[in-house]
Amino acid sequence: MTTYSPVASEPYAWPFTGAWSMADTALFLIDFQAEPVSEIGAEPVVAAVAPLLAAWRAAGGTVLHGRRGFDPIVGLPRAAALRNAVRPVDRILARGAEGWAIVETLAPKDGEPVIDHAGDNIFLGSDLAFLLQRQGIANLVIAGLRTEGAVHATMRAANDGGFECLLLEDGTATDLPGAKTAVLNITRFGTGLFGTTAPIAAITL
Amino acid sequence: MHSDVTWPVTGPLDLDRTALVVIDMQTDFCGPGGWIDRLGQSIENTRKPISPIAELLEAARVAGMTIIHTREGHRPDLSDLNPVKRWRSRLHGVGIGDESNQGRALTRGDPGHDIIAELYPLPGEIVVDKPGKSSFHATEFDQILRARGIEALIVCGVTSDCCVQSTIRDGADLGYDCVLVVDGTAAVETANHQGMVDLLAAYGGRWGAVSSSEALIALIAGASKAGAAA
Repeated sequence: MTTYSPVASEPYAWPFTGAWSMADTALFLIDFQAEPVSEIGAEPVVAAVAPLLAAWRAAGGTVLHGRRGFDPIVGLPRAAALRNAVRPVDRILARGAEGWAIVETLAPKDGEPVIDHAGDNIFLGSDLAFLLQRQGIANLVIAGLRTEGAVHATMRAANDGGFECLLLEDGTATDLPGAKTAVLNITRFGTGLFGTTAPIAAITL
Repeated sequence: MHSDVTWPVTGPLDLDRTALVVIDMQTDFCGPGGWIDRLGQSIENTRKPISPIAELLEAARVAGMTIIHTREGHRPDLSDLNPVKRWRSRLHGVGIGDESNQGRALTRGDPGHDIIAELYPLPGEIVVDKPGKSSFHATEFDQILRARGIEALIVCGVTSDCCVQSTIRDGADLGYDCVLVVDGTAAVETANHQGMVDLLAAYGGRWGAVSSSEALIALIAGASKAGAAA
């Protein structure tokens, strides 16, 4: 299997081990669902991620998809439901509702795990950690929506779990003013508080 | 900045179901000679919340609330320290588990790891040692909250952009009704602190509400009085 050189990222060349391959690295696409893509106007982000997804698949790499939504039979925890009800945008949708599906351009292929999650941290109450562990994944390349929402929450949790994360700067977006800058700065703070960031073009397969 | 949604959102404050959570007010983060100080970063910011937290602790103690202190740090044999966390900390200058001014940095049992004298837990208060940023990661925190019937969390401590935010986010996902004490938290860098507070306060409180120690102390006192009258 091809071993790749470190990615030019901030604040250090990723991964910290100095090398990576498709055996130990997964591409994780988070919540590229129709409603958030449309609310944010993230169509250019979808278009930018698509070639990386194609290259990743061609290289035989692991791809995982996050998909936010609550089970309509279960609903959300009470406090979360009350907060969800007053948000004008960024609503957590019921699974199956209009706008909940992942957009066609980045739709999961057979065999690519889709992890449904009702909150933001995709590790909570899901088999994500188990799947990654079973496949021997140590590194995550992350793209998704919204930057300050599921993307950041999941990257925080991945970091606690010891995964080495790279966030793709032009592979993530939000409609909350100032939030992307704040999250990128907090992510890279010091020697990489939650990992590193780089543009998609920094990854060459 | 305060969020415009009242807290708790789930109903009137019930002191039996609410915990005061004080995150990582350890010498290593906010004490002279601790890890942050040794790294050459200023502890001026991380010491600002000490006085508001002391006042909140007093109010919570008088009201008989559940009080939980957390400490970030690792087992002395570092078996719970991720390689990447160790590597990054060494890149910083003083690695976790390496000798610092107050014993080994962020290592359980060493002086720098302990809570500062000003906010030291009283007997009967719960202390949760955590190896990660989120208080829910690889700890008994969630089980403790459930065992006590806790549904709402008043969260303060350091640092706002790191452990405080991870704990509030996971708490919200798990169904806890969280409020951040805006003057009871801080980050090493002011811009990161402000960015984090703005994120939390967005849309009326994205993962919880944002309030002040003064408002929360008044709320606790009011609920305490109402409880005594009932």
